[in-house]
Amino acid sequence: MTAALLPAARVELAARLLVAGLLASAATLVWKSPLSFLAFVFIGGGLSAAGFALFLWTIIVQGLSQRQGD
Amino acid sequence: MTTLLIGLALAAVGLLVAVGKRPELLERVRGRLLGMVAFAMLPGLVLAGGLGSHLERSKTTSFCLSCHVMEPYGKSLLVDDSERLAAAHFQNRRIDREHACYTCHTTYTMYGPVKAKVAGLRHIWRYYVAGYPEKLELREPYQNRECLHCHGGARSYEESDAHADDLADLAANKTSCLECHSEAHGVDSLATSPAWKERP
Repeated sequence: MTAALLPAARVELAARLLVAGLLASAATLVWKSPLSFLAFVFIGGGLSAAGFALFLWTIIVQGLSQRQGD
Repeated sequence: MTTLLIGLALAAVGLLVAVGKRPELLERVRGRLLGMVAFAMLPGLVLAGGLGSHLERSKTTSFCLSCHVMEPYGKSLLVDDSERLAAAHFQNRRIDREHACYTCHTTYTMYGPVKAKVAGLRHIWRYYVAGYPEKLELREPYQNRECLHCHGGARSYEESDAHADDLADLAANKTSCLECHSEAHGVDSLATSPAWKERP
């Protein structure tokens, strides 16, 4: 298996999205405001979900292309 | 709980930075396990725990009173008048003071907590975007069910002479508790009401 098989840029982007989502979520936990819940769900949750979905898509696409290569 | 969740979030961030900089780690079996922890398990724990933490916080009295439109209702808890329901319940610890608003204003049905959360989102929308009326009113008539959740079956309620003839009607919501206990918050007369101060 080579590094070329792993779309490194997509993994890095997924990691960045998740990092942003987790930091936003953590910040809302110490922010005492009714808006913090909305920020948690829509910013923290949205970025994290996007990062996880991109990671999942990357490994699934990679798995499929590997099977086709076999 | 908050400290633990922030710690988990930072741990996840550390792992994500490591994996993001060296994606080739994911090509090994151990690296894939690390990837699962960094991309799924830790973020999942943080988000699930964070959601629970936010939902719990939204039940607290301080959360409800953090919008300035609720200030008079917060003050009404401290009025020195035992005829007012909110003040009597709060001052006599008939309800948990940390969850005073939620205890009386949630619906005690299967989906009551969900309805309360949806109502909370609507309140945030009205507060920040759509605007709210000067005089707040309940969207639906107050149900006896919410009172009887605690008072139903209590000796002081069941054996009270004042309730004796109306127990069936009260249980069926045909007679409202508020017909007799009509002063719930009394925010209109706060300015002229003396305040109660708890002894230190």
